[in-house]
Amino acid sequence: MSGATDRPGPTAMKPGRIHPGAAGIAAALRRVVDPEVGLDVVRLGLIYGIEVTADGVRVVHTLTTEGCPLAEHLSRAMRVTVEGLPHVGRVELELVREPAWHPEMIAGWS
Amino acid sequence: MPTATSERPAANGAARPAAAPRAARSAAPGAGPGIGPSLGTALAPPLRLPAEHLLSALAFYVAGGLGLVWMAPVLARGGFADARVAAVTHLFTLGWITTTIMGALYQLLPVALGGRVRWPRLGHATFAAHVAGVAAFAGGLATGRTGLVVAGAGLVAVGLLAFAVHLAVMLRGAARRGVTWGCVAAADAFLVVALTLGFLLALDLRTGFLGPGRFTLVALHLHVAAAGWVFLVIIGISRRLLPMFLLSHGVSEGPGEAAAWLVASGAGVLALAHHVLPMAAMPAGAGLLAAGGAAFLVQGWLHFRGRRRPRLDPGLRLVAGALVLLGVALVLGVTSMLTTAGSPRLHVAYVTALLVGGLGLFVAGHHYKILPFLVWHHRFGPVAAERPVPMVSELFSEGPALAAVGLQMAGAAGLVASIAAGSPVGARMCAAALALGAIVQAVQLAAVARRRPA
Repeated sequence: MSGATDRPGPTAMKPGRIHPGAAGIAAALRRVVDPEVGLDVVRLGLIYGIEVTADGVRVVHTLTTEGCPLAEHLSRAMRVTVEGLPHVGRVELELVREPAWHPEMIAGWS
Repeated sequence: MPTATSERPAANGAARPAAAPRAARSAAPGAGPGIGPSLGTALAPPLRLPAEHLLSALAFYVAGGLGLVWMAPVLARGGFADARVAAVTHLFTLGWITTTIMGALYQLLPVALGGRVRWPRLGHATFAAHVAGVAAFAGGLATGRTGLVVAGAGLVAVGLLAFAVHLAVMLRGAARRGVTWGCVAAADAFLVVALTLGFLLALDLRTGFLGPGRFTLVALHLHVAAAGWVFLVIIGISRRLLPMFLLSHGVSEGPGEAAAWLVASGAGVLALAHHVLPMAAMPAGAGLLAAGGAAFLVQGWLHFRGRRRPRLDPGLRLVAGALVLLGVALVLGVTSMLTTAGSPRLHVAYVTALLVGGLGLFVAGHHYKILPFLVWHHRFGPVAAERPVPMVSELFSEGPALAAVGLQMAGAAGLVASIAAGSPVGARMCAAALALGAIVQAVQLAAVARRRPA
């Protein structure tokens, strides 16, 4: 899962430090699990994008349902998880409604 | 020049192009940045308000189950006019189902409709009046103490009227008004109608002013309450809960919407059938209710068929069983309507299938979903980002829950069959199975309510 697009641009890097990159952040977000469904937010298809910029990380995500009762907990867990990664800087979460989440976005159920 | 990587992560870790997302229009007060309205916002009440309702409802469920064991032989003889049967019936309708709906609406309205619980203290007060009233009312009916019946009916009336006003105020301030809002609003109005009819019936115990029209009013009261109040709430809330629990988003919701209109129309006709409309309108009202019930069954089937969640947990199994028994109630009800001179046992089997099987088990299934979720949300959610916490389903043991589900489903189905067949022994055995299942569920969920993070 490595590749050029996984790496932040040069200005986002601090000399001598290893930035987790978007793929690393996605991997970390797999530790955030919906407690009702039992699947992590990446596998559920809730993460629409991860943007690594010079001064931080922006995670664009959605929820399974408008007014999802777990919104606050998922948000906090995602923020704490990403902030816990080394050298990510400022973490911004953006909740979007469209495209609306659909069960077909689930990546699989083991 | 700053560069950025913008990707949409795939589940296998590979990156894929991001969609063109549109940001949510607003953020709710009290939520994190960019987060929409949730249970955790200032809109939601403290855990105590819904929890006291749900736990008391479980106690009424156990009492109603034991009452069924007691009254099973009477039911198997078609003895619907027995006051003790009325006592057990109200343990289910007022105690089990209505108390659950009251507690669930306090929690769900902020989530589903963006409404605020305006006066939590009034919620506690209406709860106290309602619970005390139901206990007195059912106790009075069971023991033949008319004074206790009237006092209990008065307390229930005060509690439910105050709740109905509170609910109307909450609905007035709701941010989202759609089919769910319409269902709950109409149900609120039918609750008042059902209450009025019920209070007239309670007064008739002392005065006898209704004369031979009493049983017609009993039938109207039953159907306005069961369909206009309970079923409409179920139809409305199911639009939000079934897709969320089954992950069945995207299935057609037309049948559910049709069910809402048909049931509201049918209950409206029945509400007016006494004194306002000619009694000939009653079959039309009943037909609308039956059509609405059928439409809801189609909606339920679509959700279960289109679900992305492969395995059904105990709560969803109970919901599925409830839908089957609702179908049985529909068949028995239509048969009962077409054969008005038929066996009283058929009428009793129909009402049992409707109240105990269809509506009662539907509520029981949602108890297994809602109460653990609330406990997780209020107690485990706040620490979930910092340390490992159990999943919602791990708050109770699945084995006993599945046993409770099996006992309740087999008990309810067997009870209906035994009543229809006129078997007092079979009815008592099946009622005992149902009661045992209710006890296991109540014990499990009471334990869940005490769980806290280690």
